[in-house]
Order: sequence, then C-alpha cells, then structure tokens
Amino acid sequence: MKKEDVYKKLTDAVVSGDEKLSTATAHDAISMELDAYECIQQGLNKGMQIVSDLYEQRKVFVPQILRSARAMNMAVEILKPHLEVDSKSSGTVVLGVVEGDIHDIGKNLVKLLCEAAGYTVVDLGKSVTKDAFVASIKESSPQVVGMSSLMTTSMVGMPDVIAAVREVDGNIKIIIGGGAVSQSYADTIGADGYADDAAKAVKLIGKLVGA
Amino acid sequence: MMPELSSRERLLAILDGEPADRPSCACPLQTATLEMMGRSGAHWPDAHYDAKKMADLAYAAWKCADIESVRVPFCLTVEAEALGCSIHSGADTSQPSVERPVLADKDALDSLSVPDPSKTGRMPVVATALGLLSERADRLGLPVIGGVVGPFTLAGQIRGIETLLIDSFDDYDFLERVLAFTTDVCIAYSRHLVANGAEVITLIDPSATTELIGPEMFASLAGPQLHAIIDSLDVPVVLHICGDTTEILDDMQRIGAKGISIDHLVDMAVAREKVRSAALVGNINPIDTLLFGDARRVVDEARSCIEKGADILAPGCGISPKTPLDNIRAYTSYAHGL
Repeated sequence: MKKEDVYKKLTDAVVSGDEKLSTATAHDAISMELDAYECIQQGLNKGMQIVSDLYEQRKVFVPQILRSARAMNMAVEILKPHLEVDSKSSGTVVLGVVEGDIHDIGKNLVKLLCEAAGYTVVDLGKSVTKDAFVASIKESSPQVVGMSSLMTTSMVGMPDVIAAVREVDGNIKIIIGGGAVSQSYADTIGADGYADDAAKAVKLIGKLVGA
Repeated sequence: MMPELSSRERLLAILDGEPADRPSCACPLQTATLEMMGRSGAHWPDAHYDAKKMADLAYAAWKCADIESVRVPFCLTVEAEALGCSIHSGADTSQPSVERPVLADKDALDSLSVPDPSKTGRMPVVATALGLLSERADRLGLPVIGGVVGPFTLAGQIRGIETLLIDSFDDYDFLERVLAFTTDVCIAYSRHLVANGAEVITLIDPSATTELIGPEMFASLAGPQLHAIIDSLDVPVVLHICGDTTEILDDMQRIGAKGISIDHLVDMAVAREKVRSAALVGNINPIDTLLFGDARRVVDEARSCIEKGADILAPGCGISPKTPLDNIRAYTSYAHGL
C-alpha cells in the first residue's frame, strides 16, 4: 500500500465515522513506519474538514460529526506516541461557555473542528467565570478567545469578559457564538466576530489570525 | 362584526382553526421577568419551588404586561429532576439547569420508572400552581397553559445530549427504548397538568431542532414521539422547537400540533405558506428586539409578524428575564388594539 492510499483510507474512515477502519489503518501506518504527523494532517484532519464542509452544507448533522470525531480521536491516540516533534500549531484558541450556562455542545463542536484545522485549543468547559478566562489567557497567550451562550440569561455577561480580556492583551481577537447571540449583538458589545455554526467559526478564526 | 371574545375563547378558537375577533397575544413560552418578580414579590429561584409564588409570578404576566394567558413553569428541568437528575437552581436572572445526567450508564434505564406526577419532585408544585391560577383565570377569562419538555430533549437531559446522539449510531435499539420511556413520562405528566387545570399544553423540544439532528432524524425519531403525546391529550398542544425549523414545519403540522411556535430565525411568511392547518405562534426576536430594542422597534416587528400571518403574537423563544416591561407591553397593547 502506498502512503497516499493510507492517508485516503484514514480520510474515508473519518468521513464515514468508522472507528474500526480508522484505528486499523492507524496501526497499518505505524507498521509501515509512515510519518505520524502526516497521517494526522493528510489523512484524519482532511476527513474532519470534509465532514465540517458537509455540515455547513446541511448534508450531515451533529450526530455524524460526533461519530467522525470519535473515529478521528481514536486513531490520533494510536498515532500520537509516534509523533517525532511537537507538530506545529496554527495558533492557540481559548474556548469556554460563559458563566451561568451549561450548554456546551456547540463549544465542543468548535473545539473538534479547530483541532482538526490544526489549532491548539484550551477548553475551559462550561459556566466559565470572567476570572477563569483571564487566568487562562495569561497562561496560554492565545490569538483568539471564543465564548458561547445558548441562554439569553447568560449572554449579558459577555461584555465584562471582553473588557477583561482586552485589558490583559488588546491584540487578542474575541469571537462569540451560540443560540442566544447574533452578529448584531457581537457588534453591540465590540466582539471581533460572530459565527452561527462551528464550521463557520473555524473559518472566522482562520480569517482573524490571518491563516 | 364579531362579538369580543375573552382571552381564553380567543386562544382556543384560534388553536381550533375557528375565526376569532383578532390575533391573540397569549404566550406559550416562559414569561417571567425581573420587573414582574419585583412587582409580584415572587422571585427566581424560589418561584420554581413554591406553588403560590409560581402562580403569583405567572399571573404577573397578565397583570403587569397584558399577556393574554398565564403559564407555568419557568424552566425546563421539572421532568429531568423527577427522574433523578441533580439540578442547579439558578438565580433571579438565570433558569435552573441540569447538572448531572442519571442515565450516563445504560444499565440504569432498567431502574428508572415513570414517576407518579402527583408526588414526585416539583411535578406536584407545578400542578398546584395551575390549580391556583385556574381560579383567578376563570374570573378574568384567561387561558391557563402548562409547559412540558419534549421527549427528545428529556432523553438528552437524562442521558447527556452528546451521548444520546452517539447512541443513534451505536445502539439504536437503546435510543428507541430511552425515547419510549421519556414519551411515557411526558404523557403521564402532561395528563396530570391537564387534570389540574392546564387548558393548553406547550411541548418544548429544543434538542429536536433540525440544527442538531437534521430533518430526517426528526422525522424518524423525534416526530413520532411528539405525535404520540399529542394524540394522548384532549387539549390543544402548541409545539415549540428552537432554531430554524423551516424544513420540518410540515412534519410539525402533520403530527397534530394545533399551534406551531417558531423561532425568530424562521421567516413567518414562509411558515404561513407551509402551515395551513395549524395556528402560527411567534416570532418577535426575544433578544435583539424585546431585550435590547425600544418600543417602536417592538411594534414594527409585531406588525410585520401579523402581516406575514402570525395567529398568536409572541416572542420567538422564552422571554429573557431582563426584558423591559415596556417592551412587552408595546407588543401586547399593539395586539389588544387590532
């Protein structure tokens, strides 16, 4: 088997959400002594990007994304120990659901697709306080901070987080998403961007960091 | 000219597809705001737990804002709590939320049973509040609405939504068993609310949104369960699903919803084209317009909703607690004057 065929098999396994195929192929790649980083980039991540595009076109939905992400992550676990150097990251993104809100499925999707696109993601989880956002950006110096809110009751805390982040580092781009917010809300509170689904959020991040 | 109807007669006529003197401004979704809490003396989170306070705060929607209905509860956690999920009670401006699912382990399904709604968790609190509201509402000719979480959303709350969505691939049989169970819970609880005074049931199934599961999965998994619940009740059901539901409006109509409540993301004119045999409820933008807009903008949007075909003028989602009373009154007084 040529290495291109292995990459393609990994891509197909992720697109179809077949974790048996993705893990078996990852083992094949290792026995063939293929470069683990290339397998992730050319194989698995390419598959996740295809899924992301299909999601944006409304041809697949969240269950398929979750299944593809699982197929990818299980193969990544097998390949990870064989990574020679720290793979180069496209940038660092801090993500969190704002305080008072525990709906994190949208944030989790953004994380999955960001990682597939090569970003290092610091995931602060749900109901994240302003102080936790600040502590995290001091530690990880991200290019982008993304926060989400599904509930109309928790979104009103967003301006405070933006002010606090800007105070630490005025160059960090801040994006928002989630069912409760909108482009006009983003404009009102001075966020750098808004996206209405996870696939668009990753494209927005790419635009903001100039990737 | 038609004689003036009471608010109750108006809502029930509209849901029945009968002519009415004017559109209704009943609100099938969450109504409580901070100002209503201040005026009624019934605040969150207490009003989620105390039947008298729950009734007082629900009544404030009519008394303070001329909303033509009274509706309880104010959260989406009563059912999940009755099944054993731990709940965070929230604060005066944030709703209670489910902290931990009880069905993370599949085997736990066998130990779950349909709770007796007359004595489990806050189910009897909501039923008692409905009873208290019925007495007042009778005098005022107001309809009493009970809100119930739909079976797909409840399944996501007790199982964890991401796990539930993965189940749709890994163990479809299990997913169907969970949904059959949550459907039984919804039926038992809804009937109990009807027996205690609910004249209309709002079924709210946010996790069944096509933005999450797509139209095919809605038709195969969520729709049939909602259909079973609607069929089991002898009162009209308003069905609310969040997000852009344009693709499933036909399904929502087919499964027997008398009222279809739409998010502001749906174009009311498009919805009107598709929905001929159910009343349309909505769809003022609850955030950009009601929470952050001014009265003039509210009235402009209310007029547009009515012109495009809304039968019941209401926000496209639950009212945000910080929404100014003046903005709510702006759209209700517009509706009262039609």
